[in-house]
Amino acid sequence: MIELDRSHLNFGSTLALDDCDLSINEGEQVALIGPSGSGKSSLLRVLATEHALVSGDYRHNGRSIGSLCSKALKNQRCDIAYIPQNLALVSNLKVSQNILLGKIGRQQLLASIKGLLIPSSNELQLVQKILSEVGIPEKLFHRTDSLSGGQQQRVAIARALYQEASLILADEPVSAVDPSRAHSLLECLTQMATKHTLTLICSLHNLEYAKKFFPRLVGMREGKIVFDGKSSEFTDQDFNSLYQLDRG
Amino acid sequence: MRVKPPILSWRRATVIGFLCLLIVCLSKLGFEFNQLPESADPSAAAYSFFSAALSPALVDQNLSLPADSQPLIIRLLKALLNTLRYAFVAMSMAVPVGLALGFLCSRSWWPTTLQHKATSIPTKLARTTLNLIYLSARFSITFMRSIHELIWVMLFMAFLGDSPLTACIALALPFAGTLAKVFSEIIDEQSANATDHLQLSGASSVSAFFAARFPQSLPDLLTYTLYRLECAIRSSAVLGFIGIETIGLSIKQSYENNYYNEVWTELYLLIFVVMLFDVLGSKVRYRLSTPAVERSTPTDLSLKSLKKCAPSWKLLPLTWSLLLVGSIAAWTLGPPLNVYHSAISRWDRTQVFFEELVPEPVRASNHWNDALPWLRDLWTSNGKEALLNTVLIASSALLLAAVFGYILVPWASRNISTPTPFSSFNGRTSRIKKWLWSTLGFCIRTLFLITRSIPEYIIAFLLIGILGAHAWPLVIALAIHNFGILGRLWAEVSENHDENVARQQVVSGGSRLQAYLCGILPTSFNRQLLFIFYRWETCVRESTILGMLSISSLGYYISIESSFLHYDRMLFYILLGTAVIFISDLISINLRAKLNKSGSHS
Amino acid sequence: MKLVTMPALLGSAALAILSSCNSSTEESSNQETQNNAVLRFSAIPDIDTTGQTERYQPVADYLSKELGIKVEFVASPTYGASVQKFKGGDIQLGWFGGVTGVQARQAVEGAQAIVAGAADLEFKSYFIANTSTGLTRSDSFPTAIKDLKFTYGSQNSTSGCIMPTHFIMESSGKTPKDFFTHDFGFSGSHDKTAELVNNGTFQVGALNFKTYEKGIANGKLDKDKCVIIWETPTYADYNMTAHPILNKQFGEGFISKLQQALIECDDKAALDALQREKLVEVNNETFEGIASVMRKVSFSK
Repeated sequence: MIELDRSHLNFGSTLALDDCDLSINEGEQVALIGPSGSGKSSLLRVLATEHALVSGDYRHNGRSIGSLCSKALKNQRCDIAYIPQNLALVSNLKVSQNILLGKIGRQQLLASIKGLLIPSSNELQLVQKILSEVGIPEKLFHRTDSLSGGQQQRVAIARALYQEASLILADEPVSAVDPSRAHSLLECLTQMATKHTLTLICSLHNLEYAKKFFPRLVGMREGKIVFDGKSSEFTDQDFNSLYQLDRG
Repeated sequence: MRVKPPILSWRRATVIGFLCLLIVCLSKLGFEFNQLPESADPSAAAYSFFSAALSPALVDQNLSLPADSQPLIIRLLKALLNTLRYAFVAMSMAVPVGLALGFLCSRSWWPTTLQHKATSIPTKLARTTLNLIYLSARFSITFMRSIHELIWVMLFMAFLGDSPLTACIALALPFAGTLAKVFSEIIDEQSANATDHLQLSGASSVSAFFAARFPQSLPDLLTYTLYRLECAIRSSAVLGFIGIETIGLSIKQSYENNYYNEVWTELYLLIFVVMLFDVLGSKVRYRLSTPAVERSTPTDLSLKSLKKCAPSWKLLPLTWSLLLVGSIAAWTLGPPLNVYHSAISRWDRTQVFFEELVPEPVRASNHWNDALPWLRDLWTSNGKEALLNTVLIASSALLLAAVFGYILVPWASRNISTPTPFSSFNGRTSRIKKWLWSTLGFCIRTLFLITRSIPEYIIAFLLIGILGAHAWPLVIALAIHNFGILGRLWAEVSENHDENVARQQVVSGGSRLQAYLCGILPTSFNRQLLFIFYRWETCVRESTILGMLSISSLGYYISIESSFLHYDRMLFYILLGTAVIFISDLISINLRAKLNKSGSHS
Repeated sequence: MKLVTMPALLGSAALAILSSCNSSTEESSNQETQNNAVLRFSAIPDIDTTGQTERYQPVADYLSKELGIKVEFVASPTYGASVQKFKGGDIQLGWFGGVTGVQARQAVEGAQAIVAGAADLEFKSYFIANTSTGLTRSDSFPTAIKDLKFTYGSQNSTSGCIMPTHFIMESSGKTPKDFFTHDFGFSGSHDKTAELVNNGTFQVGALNFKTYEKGIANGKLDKDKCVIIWETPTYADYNMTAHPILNKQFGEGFISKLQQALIECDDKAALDALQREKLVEVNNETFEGIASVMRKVSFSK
């Protein structure tokens, strides 16, 4: 359960989120849409706890994130898997190592290093299983930067799945791949979310995909939430006012 | 499908190799940190030296000076000014030479047709000529660099007289070599996009070089030059130990007469000046890499008002003009640099000196064959051991510095040692905790700054008085200095590193340290490793001359032979050191190429 | 051959820079030789090395007054440097120790020892020990020091290195490297040797007898911590050596004039600066003993 109350966020003089209210239930799959610079990424970053709100409240499973001490915050963070737009993969580590890093928050320092350097076979089996779920099992021990863009997206998804979080946040996961790959990636992401009953929030440029794969759409414009409803109810008029095509 | 990862990657192998080497070196050195007799009380000796730190002397501790002599502070300030002056004079000679040689040592200005294997005879010929120039320039910069400035001064003083200009030329020589090397690397590392584009639109390779590649690399060149200036001040201070009238001479004399309070005054003065240049350097570096903010919005769009309001940093022109004025003043003001009082002409002395460089048996018999047994004798009696000791001291010091530096580096980086690591929200923290985080970073950065601002030669000189004369004080001194340098370089690497990965890891629940180790370290490892190799070469040079403090590395024999005027033997030991540098240079060129390759591609 | 050519090239390049950037002064200095040449002198940095220039100024003043020429003191940081300067003619007069004097005269043909302090002909070294060693003063060479931590002064010092080594070799028949079971040190100066033995950093040391006595007198050394265990036989030590080029620069017979001026010196400030009561005439033969010792002394195994 995710709740945002009258949320404000600004970077210096630029307003990123302006009075946003949002509530998302467990297991829901939501697409964030809106023009560039509308605040989709900022919203996702707030949800990922990367930024604290300037005012307002963000509650994750009933706990207010802004008031947590760093230890409690760490525990909350383990429950949120965030895939940033740049994927944030360590380029010169192996795919397996990058996926193992998903559990970094649940491990002590030494355990996480040990896991990286000499992973146990149990861990590797699990990684292997997830990797076959996202469709690239053969890349387990390849260096991450030797993979194609689409494959790297899959690695990032695998890392999020390995984290065993109840919430997955993905920032433009298909921006860098061609339409057919984008299709299969989103299919993979939503299927995984359904299979493991995860909450999935995903920002997208492509409205077609958003409507096709996500039952609920949230439209943003200039830091405000201007549409929130079922994707079947999203009309051309909504589209026009969201992207303001009428103004040219 | 195999699920066992390959155990040994080359990166792990390097780390393990380094640790093994460290253990081997340390076990060779032995673990008796003070090889003092039981009667000795190193803590008392240390106490009497370090307690003087609290009361630096402002007047002479030597009471037997004539009444009308200059007061201590005036003498010391003069020595400090001399230190700065010689550093400026040396740098103003080293920079143009370094630029010219650096240009010759770079391949990026070569016409594109010559950069690859040539087919036709004229291009083959041109390529061979260029290669010849390239190789001879490379050889001469390595040679200039491979001999420490202290040794160059000793050599030059023997035949050019004891004028300050001799010292400045000797100082400028290895500095020009190092500048040329780094300049050429900086130039070659710039992206080729702009030059390629210019050449496609018709520019010649040389003009494309000067129009695009050179301006591109200018910020890095300037930053590095400023850093070398700081090094030159340190080196010029150390020249005092062989008699140039800089602050080092005062330190040596005060210490030998047990005037510890004076020693501290001198140390404080030196550290202050070096730190000043260090801080200036980091401010300039920041401004060179960051665009300036607009001062005010222009009132209209006329060229004049646009120019007036154009964003620019005030510190930069100020620094450049200060440096220029400083160099001119260093050449022109004060007592003349080139004083020569000997009635024997420099030319005659030079001839005599070079005759004396010829091995003794050859001088007697005029047969170069006779040099062989002489060489063999020198090598087996002292040369081999001294060479090994030199390398041993350098390696253990560097690896020790690396180990300690590595532990502290994350806490020194501005993006880690802050209440919001990698600029991400980190929960609610008390004000005290926030303050503690920022103070921790500041303290460690200051520790790095202080340790690197004292020349290793001076640290070793002081430590020997406390720990006794053996290899450990040298190792510790070299380690302390390199700890400060590696600390700064590495902290910069992690500060300039892309934060995205580490931030994502913090956001998925990782701690600062986890994010550093898993998000920054893997991708910056190669760069960090490169710095170790750079420093290793410098350490070998330094450990050579640290031997002049009477520990049996090469410098010990160099100084003994020089003081008994056996220049032929002295040259032998100097060339031994040179050989090590040449070998390490070859290794580091190869490794650099490998690391750069494996860093950017898979 | 290649080994020599590289420094030769660089050296001549440096030479070219030097001569080109200041060729005008060089020419004028050649003309200067007759009318206003400078006599530069230096001293080995044996004791009290801070403010050397200040301390030796009275000597320069005295000579300048007596001889009617410009005299300048040049500080030398090490013993070796003073010899090197003498060899190159950077200084034409040196206040040397026994060993450095011999080196200087070997390096420059025709150089003459001209004066020495009256007491310098009967100079001696002390072997001193930290009292924790339990050693006491004896009349014969203290062989027991072979297992102790020992330090010399400077490598080129007569009383702090060469003569002690000579006596070690004479009584044991071994070079110091073989005689001592531990590595020995070079403290760099007499004062440092005294301090290091006094505070126990080294157990035994050899030094100039004057430094020890001065240290006891001014309280820097503690009689209960550091004692004399042996006094060497006497030998000739300090001397002033003149470069033969002086006669060319200042006219034939100048060296004898210089010698005369020094012998007749009764200027208290100048003698104090040298820390001598009176200077007496010497010649190269006076130091033949030291020269032969130097031929025998060896530090290698």
